[in-house]
Amino acid sequence: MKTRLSIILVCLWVLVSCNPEGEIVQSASAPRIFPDYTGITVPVNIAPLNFKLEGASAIVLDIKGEGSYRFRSSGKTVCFPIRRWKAMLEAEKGNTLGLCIRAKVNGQWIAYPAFNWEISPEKIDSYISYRLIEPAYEVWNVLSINERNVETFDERILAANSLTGRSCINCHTSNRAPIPTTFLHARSAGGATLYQRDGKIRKVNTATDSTAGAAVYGEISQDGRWGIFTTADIRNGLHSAALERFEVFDGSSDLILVDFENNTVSDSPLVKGPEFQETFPCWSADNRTVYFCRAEALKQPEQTKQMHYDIYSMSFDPQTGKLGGELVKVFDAAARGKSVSHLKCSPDGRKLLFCASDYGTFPIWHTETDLWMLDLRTGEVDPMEETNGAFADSYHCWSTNGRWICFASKRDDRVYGRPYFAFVREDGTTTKAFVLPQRNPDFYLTTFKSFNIPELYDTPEPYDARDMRKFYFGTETEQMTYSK
Amino acid sequence: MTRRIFHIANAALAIAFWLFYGLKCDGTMHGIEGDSLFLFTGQFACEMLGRDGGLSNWLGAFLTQFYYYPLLGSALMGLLLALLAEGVARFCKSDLTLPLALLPSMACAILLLDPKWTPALPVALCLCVWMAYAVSRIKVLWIKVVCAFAAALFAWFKIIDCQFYTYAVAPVKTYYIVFAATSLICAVSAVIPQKKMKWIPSIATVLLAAVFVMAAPRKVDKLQEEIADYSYMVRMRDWDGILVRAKGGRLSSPLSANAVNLALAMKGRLGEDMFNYYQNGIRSLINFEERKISSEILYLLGFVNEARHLAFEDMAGNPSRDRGVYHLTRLINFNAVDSLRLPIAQRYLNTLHKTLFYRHFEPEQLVCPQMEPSDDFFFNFGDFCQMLGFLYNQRPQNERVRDYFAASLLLEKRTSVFSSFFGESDYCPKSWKEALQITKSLNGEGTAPELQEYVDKYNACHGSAGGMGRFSRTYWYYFNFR
Repeated sequence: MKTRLSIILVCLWVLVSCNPEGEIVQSASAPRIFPDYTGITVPVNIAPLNFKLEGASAIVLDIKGEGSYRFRSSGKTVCFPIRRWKAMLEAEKGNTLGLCIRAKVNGQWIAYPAFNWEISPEKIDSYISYRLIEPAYEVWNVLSINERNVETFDERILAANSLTGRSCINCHTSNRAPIPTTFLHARSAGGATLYQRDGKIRKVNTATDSTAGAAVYGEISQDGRWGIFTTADIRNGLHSAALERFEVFDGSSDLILVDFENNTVSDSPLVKGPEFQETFPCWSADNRTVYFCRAEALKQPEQTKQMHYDIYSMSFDPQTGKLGGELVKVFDAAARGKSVSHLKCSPDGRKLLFCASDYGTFPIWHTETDLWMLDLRTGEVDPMEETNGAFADSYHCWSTNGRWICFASKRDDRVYGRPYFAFVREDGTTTKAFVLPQRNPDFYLTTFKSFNIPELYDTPEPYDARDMRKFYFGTETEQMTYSK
Repeated sequence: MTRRIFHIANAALAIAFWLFYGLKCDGTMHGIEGDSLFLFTGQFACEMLGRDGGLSNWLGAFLTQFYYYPLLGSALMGLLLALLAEGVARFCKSDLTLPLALLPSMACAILLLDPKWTPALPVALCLCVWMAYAVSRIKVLWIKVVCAFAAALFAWFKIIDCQFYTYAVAPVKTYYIVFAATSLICAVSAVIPQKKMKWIPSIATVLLAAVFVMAAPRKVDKLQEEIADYSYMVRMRDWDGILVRAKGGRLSSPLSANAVNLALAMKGRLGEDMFNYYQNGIRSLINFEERKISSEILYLLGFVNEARHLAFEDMAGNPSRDRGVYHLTRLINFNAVDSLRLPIAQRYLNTLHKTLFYRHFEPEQLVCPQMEPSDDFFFNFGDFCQMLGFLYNQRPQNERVRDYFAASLLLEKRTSVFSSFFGESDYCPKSWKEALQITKSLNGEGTAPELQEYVDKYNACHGSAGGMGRFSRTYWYYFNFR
């Protein structure tokens, strides 16, 4: 009996110790996996980072942290089983994982240099919304605003223009409060701003006779009552130079304050008038300051390339609902030959994240656009070189805990935006960004949709596309009035 | 006997449709094929089949891809129509109703001659008819009832509610009339008791087929076919084919003129020969409302950004049409001008390589970065002539732009501006020479003998366009009469 057992054990040992991969060649270069998930920091609650290695017919992935994990694939794609993935991240919270890929390429096993994943214990918000749209110029066909659970691959449609009379729907924005207030705009004959608070959706028209038009870019205060928005005469032009694409500029632009409780729109002489253009306002963390972009109004489109927006601030009194005080120049972008847009204040109120382009006010088609971070206490600006990609990084937002940022990046092909995440370290610097994982890593290479305006939040929206359709067609639009 | 005649008539109609559609409507067929896309992937099938009317749409798109070879595509469509008639005939117990079985396929054939109708229509009809026939063959009553119920539900969600028309306002009434008429024919045929008749149904069948064969070709829109032909030849870069088709100079639409002028420019003969063809203002060079051919013209001139703009909006902006293979091939070409734009071309190539006939498609190399604007300016679609001038100033070695710029000035009759740009040029084709002679004459610098001859003729005809003979193919004639 003992002899038989020994023979079996010896056989098993021989089998286990046999290398099924045969001779392995060591590669000097890093594995070219897609998406590029090498050397990144990921939140503990992220969905599996499935990836592919082009040309591979089999892959063995060894991950080493506190524990060891092995994942095998019989093709070019590594798809992590979600339970094992979750267990691994939970066990390795706060650790650095070393990943070693061995792949069979053209019949030959190749071992690639290892790379790391930092598993941050800081969670990212569980939900992200984004607009899916073909990156056209002026016209659109099918577009939708979707909500994705970043911890899994579950996605649902919040609003689809196929259900709202082909209207343009955009700018889904959350105030990221514990019970969030959100809004989105629907542009068409019966269009309006769809404002959701405490699960109740209202349809409001923010255009008044005394303001330039309806609300465009903006944010809602933490209490959900106030909204600070741009109102603008938006125009566009088509570039001719080979690598330029499309320019969007404002014929005029001002700021408006919307009181969603009293249905009024007001403004301030500080941010109204034809001499200057003001746009992309955002609240400070305590909602007592409004940051915005401002530039001297020049003739458009002739002088569009001379338009340089700086960052200004003014105070806001939530008790009286008045914008006022004096204008303070917070950041002189023009002095650096830059123009800023898309301001977003961190939840702790210490940082301001914005887009820096060479000129103009609409950065998404400017390939040179990068994200910059301004320290509001010191005035120092960080060009975030570790995080920015080769082409336009824009439409950013903060996670509720202020430790993650999300943005749309066109770094992969110039044209199609994809949602990227980056970790904000204790010292305020940011890490290399990684793209929102998909069940099928090929998704980003084949989809005809561009992701724009990614928005993080922790509580799912209480409605879906069918509810939105009911509200859109079945609810009366509340008309806002102008209040001096 | 009657059944045999029915089968012969059905086959004859299918063959007639095959030959007529495949040979006379090949341009239209190429256009339809270019606007459609069928991918051999599970994801594509799931996406298509998941939508309302998905099965009809998916099979319709599958059949449409074969329009790449018009005779093959029309043969498949002929076969489908014959199958439809055969399906309806299965319900006919009496010979008397047999000729009626041809009507649904004839209606489909006539509707298909209008390119806005998609093959999803005959596919949907055929599926419904054969499904109903299969259900009718079930012997056990309760199984029959259950299957009929299931088939009705399936037909409603996955077959009937299909995309049978490619424009926003679909003729829903016509669609449902065809469906209702087919159902009625099947129902009536099934009810009328079996009866053998020899001559009346046979004669009716033959007459019906004959009337159809005589009448159907009248449904073809000749202008549309001409435009489709030119569009296809532009797409295939068949410049000689365009000039052969345009022989005689008469062009029925600005779009045809756009294609002919582009072909002339590509052959380097625009300045020499453009007034051998009908010209009427700058719309003869480009017509921005027609995004497809305009994007090709802009691309081949070097306005790649603008070409991409039109091509993309043509693809993404049409609410009633999915993207097609032609859209993808254009976007690949327009993005493959240099290596910096290759990743985006690759995205479209990834898709195109999953089709049947374009799996080996490679981008063409007809435009190089040196033809594109070197300095940026905002493109103004309202002043194409000025845009050509900007590009010509930046890229004087771009001969296509030079010829188009000159042609635009001539067509707008801006002869003095033309002279300032091209008065000293070594290259001086016929139309330029004629324009320069006009300028000189108008400036009082003497009238060339040929121009004098034209003026004499003009005076002799008292300004009548019809009597200008050989001069009707000169710039002088255009200058006076257009």
